[in-house]
Amino acid sequence: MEVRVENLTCTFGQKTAVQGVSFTVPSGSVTALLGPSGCGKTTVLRSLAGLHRPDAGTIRFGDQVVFSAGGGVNVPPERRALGMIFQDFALWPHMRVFDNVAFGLRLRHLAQAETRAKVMTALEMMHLQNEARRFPHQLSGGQQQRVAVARAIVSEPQLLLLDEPLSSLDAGLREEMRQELSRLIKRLGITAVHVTHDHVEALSMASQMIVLNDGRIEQSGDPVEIYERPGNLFVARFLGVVNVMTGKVEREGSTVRVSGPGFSIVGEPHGPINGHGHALIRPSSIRIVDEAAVSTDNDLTVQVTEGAFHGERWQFEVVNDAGARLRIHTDAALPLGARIRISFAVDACRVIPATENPGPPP
Amino acid sequence: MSLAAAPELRTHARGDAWRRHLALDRIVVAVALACLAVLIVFPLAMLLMQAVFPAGAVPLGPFVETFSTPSNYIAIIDSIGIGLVVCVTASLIGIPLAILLNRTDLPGRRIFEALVWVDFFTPSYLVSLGWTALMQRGGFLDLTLGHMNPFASSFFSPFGIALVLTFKLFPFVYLAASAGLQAIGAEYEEAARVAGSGRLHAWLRIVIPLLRPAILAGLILVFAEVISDFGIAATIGQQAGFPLMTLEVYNYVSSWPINYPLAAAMSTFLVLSMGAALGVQSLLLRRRSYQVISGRAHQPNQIALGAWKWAVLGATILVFAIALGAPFTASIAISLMQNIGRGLEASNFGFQNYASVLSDLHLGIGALWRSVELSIGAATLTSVLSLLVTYMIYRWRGLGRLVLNNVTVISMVVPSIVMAAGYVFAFNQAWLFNAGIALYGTLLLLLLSYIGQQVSMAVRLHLSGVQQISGSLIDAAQVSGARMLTLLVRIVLPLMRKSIVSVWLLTFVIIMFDLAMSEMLYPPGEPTLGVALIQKFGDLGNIGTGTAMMMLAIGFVLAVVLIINIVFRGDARANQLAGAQRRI
Repeated sequence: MEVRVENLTCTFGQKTAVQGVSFTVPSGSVTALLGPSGCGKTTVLRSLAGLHRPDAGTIRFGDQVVFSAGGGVNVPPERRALGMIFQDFALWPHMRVFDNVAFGLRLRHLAQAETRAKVMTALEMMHLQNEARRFPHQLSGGQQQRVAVARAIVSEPQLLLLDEPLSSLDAGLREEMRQELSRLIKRLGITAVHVTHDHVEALSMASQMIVLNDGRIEQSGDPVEIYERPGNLFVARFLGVVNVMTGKVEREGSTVRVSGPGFSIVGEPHGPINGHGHALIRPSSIRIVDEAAVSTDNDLTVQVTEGAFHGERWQFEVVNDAGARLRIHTDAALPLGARIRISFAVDACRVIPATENPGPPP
Repeated sequence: MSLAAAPELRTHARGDAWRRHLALDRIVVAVALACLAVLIVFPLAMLLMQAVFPAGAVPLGPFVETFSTPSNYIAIIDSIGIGLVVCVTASLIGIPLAILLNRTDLPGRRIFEALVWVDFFTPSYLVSLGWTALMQRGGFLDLTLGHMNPFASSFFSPFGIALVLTFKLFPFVYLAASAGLQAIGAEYEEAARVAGSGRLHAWLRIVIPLLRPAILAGLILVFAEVISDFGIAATIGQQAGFPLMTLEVYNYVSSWPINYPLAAAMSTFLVLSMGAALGVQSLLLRRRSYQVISGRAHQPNQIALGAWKWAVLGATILVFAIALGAPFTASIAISLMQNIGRGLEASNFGFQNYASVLSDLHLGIGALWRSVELSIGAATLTSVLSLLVTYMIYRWRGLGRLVLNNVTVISMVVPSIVMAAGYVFAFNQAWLFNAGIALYGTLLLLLLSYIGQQVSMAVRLHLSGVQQISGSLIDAAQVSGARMLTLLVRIVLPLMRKSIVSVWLLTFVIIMFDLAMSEMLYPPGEPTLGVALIQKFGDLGNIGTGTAMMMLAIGFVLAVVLIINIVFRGDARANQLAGAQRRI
């Protein structure tokens, strides 16, 4: 079922949490709403669920208008035929696992045998068939999460909503659940909207990604495309650590040259070039090279100022003579204060026009 | 599992059932709102009408009359004066006690803390009836001294009223100051000590100033309790001939010369004073002029009392001996005397008074049992209604929520005696009788008035219970297809079990020992517990059976509280649920 959201606006008192957001969720796709806390992503999701009443806009589920501020339509959540997975799981503590999952089916007055069969199928899918008689508090965090998933899919919903479903799991479990959830959604061919602030989660699970900031859409499209070609500084920074070198931009054939304090580098242009721009370089694209090496890549001489071990690699902060700071990743430790030469390829340096939005701190 | 089933088909099939549910939901909502309108809004509106537009008099005339005639406004001055005095005296006991029980090594702190709660929950007229049994000419003190006690006449005076109120109300100051002390934690004091301040200096300059808002809030509660108290005004106040606002309201409505407009004007003034006091109190608490260290405050160091320990212990015991010991020892002793005139001879002691209460179907067991039935019925109906209203406030947005919130908050500050007066004005109207609605003077109206008086408090208590339920538990049920009644019955009520039981119990106890509503609204010949007790204590010859009945009632209520606690504490699953809810 295709979901179409047009011009959605939600205000809380003086504050506008969502400002005229429009997007389409294609049938059978997984769309991730990604953004920092307070960006309005949860409000959008709760509007889709009917748990929040927006102030303006239209929401369509297929041909059916479920919300229209102008038309005075607001279908209550219980009639939207949804499945939803909540951040805190929201399992009813006074009901057994079976009853939690069966809750929605029972409200539909299905035959008892049918309810039972559907619940057990859903529990088996989540490997919970032996836990049906237990109470939620007798289960582990991962099992609770599976019950929440079973409850959300048992009624064969037209739309599955996921509200940061993995954020209350620990790191290892989160990875495992992410894969399992991905497989399940693909297998059921369900249309899903997934809210998260974790870009890895969004990149790995979604077929469409919408980056929200301050109630507006910053960029939307294919996740890999957005990761590769962030439209602005905010998106670039939100999708992971990125070095930003700001300076004057001049066209040089098919490439552009960015010149700033103590550096002059060449990169690929993305978007119009209008005097000023940001060169974006991911730390993983930067190599340390010999003083004597000769190459066509960009290179800079810098001093190592700070470093920390991050588990699988080291991250160092380096600074050039004019004070421009960069972060680099290395496999081994570097002595603080050392002068080194770093290099990165022209196609690893993407140049976007300067924007007013500085994005989140790196 | 196939997802092919067409969604529109499902929606269609569910349509009819859904419409039926909707109708039922609407009926339930309408009934609940109608109950609130009849039980709270109607009586209070009639009270205001009576004061502002009295029949056959100039608008607002009753206010003018109240404030221009000394015999009318003296009660206001008396009430406010006693209120201010008791604020001071109650804090002289409450604040030191809070410091002693929270921050020192005084022995028996837990017992004293439990006694504070006992005093807090004891209805004021039971305490003052106990004092009457003790101090009255021919009462317990005369009997023990063997001659006339010198205080009998001076006790039934403003002095005695202030004394009893002080020892009844110091728990309010104590609880406020304790909460403040616990919230502040030890860090500020320790920081001052590290900076070079002595212990006393640290207390005077740091701890006490930090406590000020909490204590002030407690004092305002004391003041509000004093001016709205009917139990002591109707007993010691009545005997002392010292008019207080609540007693005046009662007298204007119930005894000759009856004057409804004056009662209404006095009531309105009383409610406005309460509203102003409690408004300031909630502002004080909301402003939180001090930032408390939250969550990680550690156990503060105890102050060692050293050589003072036993003297302080003696003083603390004395406080509770006066607050609870004196009145209830006298009551128990007198209840066991066959004939109060014969005094303390051994042969005079026995259970005759208890036997005669249990056989007296009019003023004895009859009245007691009537109160039991009424309070069980009213507490149960109050629970049902308050849960519905709580749910509406919790889930509704906008105007409906605003109205319900305001109705319940405003009516919470209405003293019982004023609400009772409102019921008289509202239901003692000719057009109602002509329309065949003859509720006035029936037990049914008394029952309704109990509900009307208690439902707002129950709603506010349930609201704090329901707010502990994670909102997503309810969202999840709604997304699964549950409508209001299903949500309420299947999700909300099971999760609120503990809160429902304790609110029921509290309402039951309050109604059981109600005096104000009962005095004003009991049907002639059908007295309740409170009415019967007041009648018995009014006459020295009946004080023996009066005290016996009081003890029977207290014993019965304690037994109910105990049984319910055992039944629900023994319920391991309830505890598990509470634990699980915290974890999930």
